Amino acid sequence: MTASERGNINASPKKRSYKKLKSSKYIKKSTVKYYRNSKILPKIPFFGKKVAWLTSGAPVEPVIAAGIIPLYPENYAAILGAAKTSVSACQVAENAGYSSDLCSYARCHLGTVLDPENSIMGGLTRPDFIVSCNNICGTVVKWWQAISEYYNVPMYHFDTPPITGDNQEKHVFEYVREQFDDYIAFLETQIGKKISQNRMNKTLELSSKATQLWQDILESCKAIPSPLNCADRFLAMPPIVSQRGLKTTVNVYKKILAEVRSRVASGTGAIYSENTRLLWDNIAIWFYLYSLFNKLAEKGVVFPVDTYTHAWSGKILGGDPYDALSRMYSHVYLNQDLSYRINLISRFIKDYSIDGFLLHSNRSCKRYSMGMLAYKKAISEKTGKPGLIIDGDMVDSRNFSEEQTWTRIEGFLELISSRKT
Amino acid sequence: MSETINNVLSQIDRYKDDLIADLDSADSQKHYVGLFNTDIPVEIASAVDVHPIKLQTSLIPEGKGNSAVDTVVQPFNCSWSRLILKNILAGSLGIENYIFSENYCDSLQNLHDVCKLSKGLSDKSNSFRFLHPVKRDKSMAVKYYFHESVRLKNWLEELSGKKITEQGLREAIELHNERRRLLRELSWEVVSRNNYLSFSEFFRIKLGTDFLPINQSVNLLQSVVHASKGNTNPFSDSSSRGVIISGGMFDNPLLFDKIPDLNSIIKTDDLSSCSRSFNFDINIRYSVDSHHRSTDALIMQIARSYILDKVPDSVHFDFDRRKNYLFDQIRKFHVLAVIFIVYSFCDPETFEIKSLTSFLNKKGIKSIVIDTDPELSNIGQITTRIEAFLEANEGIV
Repeated sequence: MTASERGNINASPKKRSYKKLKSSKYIKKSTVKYYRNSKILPKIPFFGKKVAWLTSGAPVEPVIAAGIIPLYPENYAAILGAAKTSVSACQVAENAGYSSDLCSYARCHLGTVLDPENSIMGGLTRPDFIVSCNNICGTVVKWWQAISEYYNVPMYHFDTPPITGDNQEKHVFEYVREQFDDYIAFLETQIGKKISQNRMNKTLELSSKATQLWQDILESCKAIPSPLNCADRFLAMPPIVSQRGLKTTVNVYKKILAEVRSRVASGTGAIYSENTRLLWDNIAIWFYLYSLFNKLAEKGVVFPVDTYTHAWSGKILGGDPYDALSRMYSHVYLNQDLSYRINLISRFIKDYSIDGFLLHSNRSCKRYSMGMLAYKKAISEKTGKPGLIIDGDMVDSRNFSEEQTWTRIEGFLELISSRKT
Repeated sequence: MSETINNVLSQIDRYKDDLIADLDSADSQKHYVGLFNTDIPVEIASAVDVHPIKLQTSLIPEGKGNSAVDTVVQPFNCSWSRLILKNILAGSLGIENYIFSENYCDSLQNLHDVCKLSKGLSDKSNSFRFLHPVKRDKSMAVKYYFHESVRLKNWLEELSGKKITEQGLREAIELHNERRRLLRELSWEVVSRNNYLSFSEFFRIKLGTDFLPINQSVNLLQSVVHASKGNTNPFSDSSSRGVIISGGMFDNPLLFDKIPDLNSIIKTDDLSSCSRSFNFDINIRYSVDSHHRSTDALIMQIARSYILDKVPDSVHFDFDRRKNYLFDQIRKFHVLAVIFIVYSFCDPETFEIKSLTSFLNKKGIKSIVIDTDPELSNIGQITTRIEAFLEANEGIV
């Protein structure tokens, strides 16, 4: 026995600071199946499956109802980020002439388009057509344009002017609504047949159920201790983003909701000793996801709520389904003005018993990050809670400094702690 | 520089000083409105005597600006919008009322709210948030632009206290059409290279007409066009080589003064702030049937022209039209090289330029991309790069 082994015998095993969500295995299964199907089914002529690449905010229900496999470059870029292979993909795009100032999701994904052999899963299955919607940002229009040119495939762009003020202007709603008819016609041209209204109704029903279940999961985190941490929710997100409208998504979220509710009932939190509750704003720092949230969990810091996962909580209410979809897709978080954000974040702070809020100034996302410096102050004034801005990036680790970030976070936690005592 | 051009540029400078003085008066404010791009139907503003001022680098007083802009927006926001915001926060632009281009691009989105939260807009300020359609190829976009323009009209009427009339709007359209026509005529002068007008001078004049009152703009342009008559015809030297300047928000003519070799070989441009803003007209020669003689019918014509005729910017979804316009300019003016100038952190332009350079490369057209900021802080680098490019392509430029 070596001295080191002798020493280790006496050391107590390191205790995990978070509890693993058992039902997350269903997310993994569902995601693996989803990507596997996207690779296999299009190759089998019998199924005649077409593939479409969509932006995360693009109306997916008609695509699913049309029997088309939707794939999400943003989701794929997030996977690369979490797997820490995103920087090399970004570099492929940069070497091809894309500026390093552009969105890292775009650079990362375009890098895999240019060099699929060196990408996870060999890149995404080539699309038959693509659909963008600018309810999440304007960059997607140009990113998708680049994809359309590269693959020489048709592109449909869904234009959703933002909501400024309390209500959507009538002509803005009508413009979005008219595009739905146009969009359906486009999809039907792509598949060479009409989309069955029964299938559409079923897809909308499943989408509604899934978003309701997702909403219930998110709201369960109002409980103290919070049954889920931010990382749990980010990792549970893929089905609601990319498989909304499928039965499997409803089934997966039923299982997750059951486990979450069981945790709430037994007073079990996502982390072992919750003492500070924070709100997270902006997209995840995917390459630093576990490190960040687990390290904070060790200090008793949990994130019961974030703005990113709440983006997929819109409801398809009664009446004409396309009217409902027009409203839902227009009212996403990033398509609203800063007053909306301030009010929503302030409401979250109250409803989720939050001690402070952390704003991720995401170098790659102007839409999410623009205005953050201004609204941080407004939220603190409204809620009396302190906020902190950290600089980062969703998948380009070259835009992130671990040391600087922790220096700021530690100071922030000290501030919160002193306010509590 | 000819005496006429000298006089015209001096007039523009004098007007700028008068404008700043006039903006000091609270009563005058309702007659002015600041704009962030050329995609706003300025004809409607002119029709109610509200004077549109296209915000631009040359309107920024030197050394002014509120350095607190760094506490309001991150450094990775578009350098042009940061400069403008810096000066809105400092009050150095003197303008109280703005037409914000809410969704023109991600750097301008929510700029209104950022200004309000940072107290860059006073309580007296009256602003409109124009919601641009990104689509440029469909009738539904025309219909949408029409309704948005009507909404703008209602706001302008409230701002000015004046009701728009069909006659007033028609006259405003005609004046703006005339301004555009004169600018096109003057842009040919740059091509003919008869030493009457350099690109830098033309660009300055054009940018000047973006904040001069429309009547004054037209008079000024007419004087320049008149003085240029008697020179060689346009395209007289159409076989001569040269370059096209292409870009989005770029609006600083100083660049061309600082690189005289470049100034002397620019034949034309594909800039959002220049030719793309005047290479179209509003067609009002429609039926004179009384049903159609209405303000709304004119606004519909405005909408059609802005959506279907005006060359799209990189923020819009109609890449083919932008690409074809650039290629048409290349063919028309017989150039074999394009110099792209992009302001830092302008994502739509940066993305689009990548596609355009690939396209041009396939056509055998040389190109270079120059990244800078409104203050040309890297002028030394730019000069070296451009001079090297011109030298390397001496046979064709």
